[in-house]
Amino acid sequence: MNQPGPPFPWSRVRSAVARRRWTPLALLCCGITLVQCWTSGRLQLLMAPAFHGLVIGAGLGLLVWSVTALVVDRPRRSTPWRAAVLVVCTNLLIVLAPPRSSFSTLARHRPPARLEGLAAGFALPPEQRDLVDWVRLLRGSPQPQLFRGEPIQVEGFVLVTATGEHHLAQLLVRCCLADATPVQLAVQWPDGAPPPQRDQWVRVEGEMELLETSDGIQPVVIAHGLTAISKPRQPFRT
Amino acid sequence: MVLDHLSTSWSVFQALFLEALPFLLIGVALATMARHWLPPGPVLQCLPDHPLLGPLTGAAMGFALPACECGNVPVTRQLLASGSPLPTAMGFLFAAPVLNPIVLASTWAAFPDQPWLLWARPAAGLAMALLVATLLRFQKDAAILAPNLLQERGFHQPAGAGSLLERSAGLVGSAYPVPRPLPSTGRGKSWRLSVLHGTDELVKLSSLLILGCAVAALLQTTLPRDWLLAVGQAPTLSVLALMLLAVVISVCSSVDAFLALGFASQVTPGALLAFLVLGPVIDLKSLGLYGTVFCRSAMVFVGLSCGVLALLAGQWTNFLML
Repeated sequence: MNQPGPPFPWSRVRSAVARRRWTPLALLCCGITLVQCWTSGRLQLLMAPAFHGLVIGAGLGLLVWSVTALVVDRPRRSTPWRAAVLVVCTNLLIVLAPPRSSFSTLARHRPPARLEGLAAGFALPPEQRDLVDWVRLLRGSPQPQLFRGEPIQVEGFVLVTATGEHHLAQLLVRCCLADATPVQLAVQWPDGAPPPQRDQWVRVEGEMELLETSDGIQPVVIAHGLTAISKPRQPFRT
Repeated sequence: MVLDHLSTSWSVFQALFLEALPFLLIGVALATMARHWLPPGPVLQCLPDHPLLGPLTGAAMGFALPACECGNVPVTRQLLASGSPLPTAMGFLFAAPVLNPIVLASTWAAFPDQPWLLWARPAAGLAMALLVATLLRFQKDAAILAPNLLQERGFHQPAGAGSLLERSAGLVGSAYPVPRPLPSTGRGKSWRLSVLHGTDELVKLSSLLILGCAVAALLQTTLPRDWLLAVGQAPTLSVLALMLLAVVISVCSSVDAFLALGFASQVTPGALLAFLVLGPVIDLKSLGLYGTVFCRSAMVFVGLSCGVLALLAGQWTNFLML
């Protein structure tokens, strides 16, 4: 029969607050924040899955470290309490104010993503290709005209470009939001209806068209149907 | 619109901070273990002080710590505090973020079709580390190191290594507060002091990381990246623009090659190399961390030196490849 482990040293935490042991408490806050970001699924909004394990490990490591420091800590003459207060306040803010980024604002002035190295969806039928598959296919094909008229069903958020056009886009993230770059397709929205709002997540059904412009051939999705969808749990491609 | 920018900056800040904190933890944990197990003084003082061998040894140590600059700074600080020769510590600080297995592997993964970059990046990173370490070697410790670090270092150097003033000897008075006593007796007590010292250090560095991430996140959302890339094909301007981008973006050196992949075709090869060489060493996120190692004038000197060397590397590459 398993013996219950030793109880969490809450009395030590209370004592630490009373005695102003700010630095172990600051680390405890960091650990709780990282673990909370993991359990609440917030990491999926902020960084690529490859880094989740690192953050989770660091969160658990910080919890162990801070509890150890609370246990062995004794009143000391000087601690970096200002730094500790800043760390505690920042972590509280992170927990209380989850990220609500405007992907359109983030991506507006960023160069388009390069798509080398991503798993391709060439073998999929047209209706099953996602937005990134389509852009990769169109960029890589020597004869993009061959895709004219093919049915298309893609999801993404509405990106308002610097010229004011409403495109459908997804973000490509290698590391975290700091390096996010957009993959986008121009859309001719259904007649009579205004284009959806910036950052709105939508599913667009229609057909692929290729327009001859002065800059070359530009792919455009002729939208026949438009459905508002909720933001995915992981709202970017990696 | 302003609210959009602020909320987006807040999200980028969270992403940068949460991603960098684990690397900082690894660095401080290693520094704490080194402090506990490596006796300060004699062992580390055996590391080479030679202007060439020192940085090379430090760079080789980077293979043992596959972390980005956030993790390297606390380890470098501990090396210096324990009496390690300056060239070795500087070699580690400036070369390890580029010359570590993860960074080399990610560069290879991102640019398999550009083999020149696979050797040019580590070569330029090593050259930068050698030159900056050599330049710093001509200065006295007191002229480049942060006051607190200088004081810790003074306790682990041979008595004849520093001047009377540098050692803050009691005869002429001390310019800085009296340092904490070093762990001396008893294994348990030593562990306790190591844990508490590491805790204080991690909190101090985290607060500096917070400030760096905040500045980087604000600039990321207000400085249009496509403006910088607009000068892509101008040989010198493109190098300068990408250097500025590297400093602002502050992304971890283990993944910056994938980021560079996004604009590799729009810029000159020299600009690409300058981005990959300067970014891991100097960025806004780690600026505060450097303040725990260098004094202000030395930080300016290091920043300018690295900038000039990255510019030269980029220009030379453009000269050869364009």
